[in-house]
Amino acid sequence: MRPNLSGLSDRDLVLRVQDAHDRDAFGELVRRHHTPLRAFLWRLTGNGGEAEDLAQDVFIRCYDRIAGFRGASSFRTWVFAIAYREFLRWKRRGLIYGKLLRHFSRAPEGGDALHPDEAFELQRSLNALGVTERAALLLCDACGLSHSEAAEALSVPLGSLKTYVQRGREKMRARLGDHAELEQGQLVSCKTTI
Amino acid sequence: MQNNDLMSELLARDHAGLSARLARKPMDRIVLAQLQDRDRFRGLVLATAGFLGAGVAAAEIVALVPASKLWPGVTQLGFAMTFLLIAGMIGILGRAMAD
Repeated sequence: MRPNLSGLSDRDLVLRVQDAHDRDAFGELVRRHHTPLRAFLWRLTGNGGEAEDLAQDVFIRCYDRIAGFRGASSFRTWVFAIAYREFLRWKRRGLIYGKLLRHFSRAPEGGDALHPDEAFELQRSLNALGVTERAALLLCDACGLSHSEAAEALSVPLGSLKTYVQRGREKMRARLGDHAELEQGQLVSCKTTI
Repeated sequence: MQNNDLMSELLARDHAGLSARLARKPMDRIVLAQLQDRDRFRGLVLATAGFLGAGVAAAEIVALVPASKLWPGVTQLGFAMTFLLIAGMIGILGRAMAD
């Protein structure tokens, strides 16, 4: 019988995990944070399958390191920071086989909110950004982190973070402008060949 | 500036759509099962290493040290059996930890 932990704050759940290695409490933390994290990793990696594996690794790592979490930032920021570091490790590991994998992997799927063509164009534009720009843009514009939270998660100064976000938006706009038009928040794809 | 806002809105909409879809496939049980599997694996490695280590150490001691010197009145066979028992107990303890 699983105890009802939904009423507890993230901080209380973390304390339970730290003090008693309470796995149910950790499961509740995973339940609360897995969807934004997986969506973030999906768009960061451009590969749904890899993002799933990576998300699992991130949570395992969180469990291993949770004793060191002192609550200076929110649990969400801390998880995103670990996710970003894991992504960088994954990227370094995958440099050799990455191109091959991307070649054989399916085109990134969109969520229910976007048409598949829109999602494809969006992912392609994101892939064209630098890693830090992409992560900064996703954390701030997609995941809803504040600039200071995103700066903390990416371990960059606040000023640099703002520059990354701004530059990322401009590059995205310029790139999407080559293939599509942004009209009232809708991405209208002009390119049909994939 | 307006285009930047539209870009943010597009990313937010995509994120919301992806999140809604991923929410239908919870991950907590998978992560907890992985942690449990990892514990089991570590326990098994510990049990095996403990058993083998204790066994090898016991064999070395039995081979090199006469029983009468360490434990007067006990035969060499009894001496060896005691060490084997200790090695077995370490193995059982490790296996219990794995479960």
